[in-house]
Amino acid sequence: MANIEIKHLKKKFGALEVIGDFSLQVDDREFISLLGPSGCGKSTILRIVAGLEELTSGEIVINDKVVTPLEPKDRDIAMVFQNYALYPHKTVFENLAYGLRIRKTPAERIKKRVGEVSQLLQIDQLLERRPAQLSGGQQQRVAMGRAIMREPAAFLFDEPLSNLDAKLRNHMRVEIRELQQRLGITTLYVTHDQVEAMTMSDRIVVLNHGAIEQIGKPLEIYEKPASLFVATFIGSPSMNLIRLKSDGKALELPSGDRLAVERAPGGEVILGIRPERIKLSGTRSGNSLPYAISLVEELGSQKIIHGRVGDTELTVAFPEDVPLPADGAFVSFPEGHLHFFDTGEGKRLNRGL
Amino acid sequence: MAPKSRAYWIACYAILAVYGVFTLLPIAYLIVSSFKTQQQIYDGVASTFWFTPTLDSYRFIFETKPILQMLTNTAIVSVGSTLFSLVFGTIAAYGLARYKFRGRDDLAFYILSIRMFPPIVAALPIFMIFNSLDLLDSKIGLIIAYTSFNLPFVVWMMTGFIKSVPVQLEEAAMVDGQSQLGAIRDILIPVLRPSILAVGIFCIIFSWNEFLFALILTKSQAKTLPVAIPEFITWTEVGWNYVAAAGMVLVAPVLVFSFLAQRYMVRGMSMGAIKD
Repeated sequence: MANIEIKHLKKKFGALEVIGDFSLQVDDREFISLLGPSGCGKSTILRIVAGLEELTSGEIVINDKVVTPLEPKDRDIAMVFQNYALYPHKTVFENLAYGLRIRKTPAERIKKRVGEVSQLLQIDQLLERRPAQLSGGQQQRVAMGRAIMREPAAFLFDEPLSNLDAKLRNHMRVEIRELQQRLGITTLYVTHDQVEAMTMSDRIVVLNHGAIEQIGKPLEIYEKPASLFVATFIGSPSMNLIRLKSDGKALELPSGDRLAVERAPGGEVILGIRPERIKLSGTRSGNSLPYAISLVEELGSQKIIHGRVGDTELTVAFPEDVPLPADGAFVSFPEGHLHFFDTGEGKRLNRGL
Repeated sequence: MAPKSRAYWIACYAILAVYGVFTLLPIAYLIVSSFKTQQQIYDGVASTFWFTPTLDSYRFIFETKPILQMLTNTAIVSVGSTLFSLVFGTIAAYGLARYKFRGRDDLAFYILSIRMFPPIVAALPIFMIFNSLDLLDSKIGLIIAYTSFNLPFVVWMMTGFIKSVPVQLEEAAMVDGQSQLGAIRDILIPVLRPSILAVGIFCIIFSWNEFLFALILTKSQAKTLPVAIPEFITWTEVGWNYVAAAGMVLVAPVLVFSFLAQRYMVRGMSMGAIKD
């Protein structure tokens, strides 16, 4: 059981700076996801924590011990790789046992521990097989098992679910999270999948171009994105963004319509509103706008509706069990769910709201 | 794919049959000639495969020349140079496959290009160098020479093989608690074993059959069998039956070996063609 501390981490490949001043504190038993698009440096950070990659400057602390100069083997961590990296020439039993064999653990203890771990992960029927004879989900489980064999100080996951099909991915997501909570192991989890990050993490670190955009609990990130990047990266379908003018009391949409609001930042701003927060109805009310529907996507659990307010495109998520208004639809924006971003760097403006 | 017609298969097998005869006939001719007397060799086409076999040629070559010693030399030099080539070649290949450094691809191509110029170009310099190092007519000298010819091939092939093994396997071993060298020993080498075997087989066959450098660099002590074979053609007689018998002695081990090692050789030749 341990904490991980990353202090002022910088990484350059030649002249190219991929990570500039990254600091993060992962508390004991915490599950933190590093979330970002490919090439944002999230895997590099993980590999630096593991000791597989050198850092340019900064410090890594695991379990209150500075491990920066140490080799991976001396860091007391376990890692699950995207391609699982199971040893193809070894049986499942030997894959699990390898870490303990290196440490010259007595054969009986190894056997006992393999028994425990394989039962925990329901792979005890597969111990004599080789990785090539396993399905993707089974390989994933063996990789997990290998990681927990030694009861390491911390788990590192590098996109462990991205090679699985969608159904299995959902299943393994739950399994990994349950296992992590049961064992209480500090975890750093790299993913580009927002659903994985949202559903599994205690906290999410959203990364872009090697810098932190936002750190927060999943709902904080969803409800109060710190920047345009976070706002559009999290949530599906993604947040509607409308560039408009505001005088603090009313918003003037590109269509010319005016929306009265209690409080808004003034000047030229970008308004963000999530498709599932927009109210759609067949009757006009005080603050609603006429909405022309152009396409309806049926998802079963909900409908995704594409349409326009004037010339402004607007996506609305609509519950499946409510019939769509037959003619003449109107949308309204509940004030508590409006996000404002500046037009320059895209920083969130309504921090207090 | 649509089923092929009968004519297609007849044509296929006809072509294969012609090719089979084309490649096997010389070997068949070698075999029968080794069991003939010198007279029978010239007896005409009709009796090529119809004659009274005799072991006289074999008896003669073993009596007049140290065939066994030369065969042993051939074996020692082949195995020795193959081992050296594999060890050093694989180490070099690991560097080329796993590390990025300036000029890596140029270096890899340069190593391969050594293989491209005719060996005779290097013969004279090597002779002079070996002469001053007192390596002429020694098995060590021949092993060094063959190693230098096999190395580019080993480096090139092994680089490809190592690249095809995900580096995460070694990284997983390192996270599991192993050093980098330990990870190579425990994980990479065992995974590569079939590839190493395949490359080794090609090295052994090259060294076993090599003629040119054995001719130039050896005299008596380290002489290998390929060099001895043409010596049965002298200014007084052309002993085709002796040449054939000595050829058989040289070829037989390779035939047996190739037959046993067939599946590894196919793997070596079809490298990268299929995904595991």
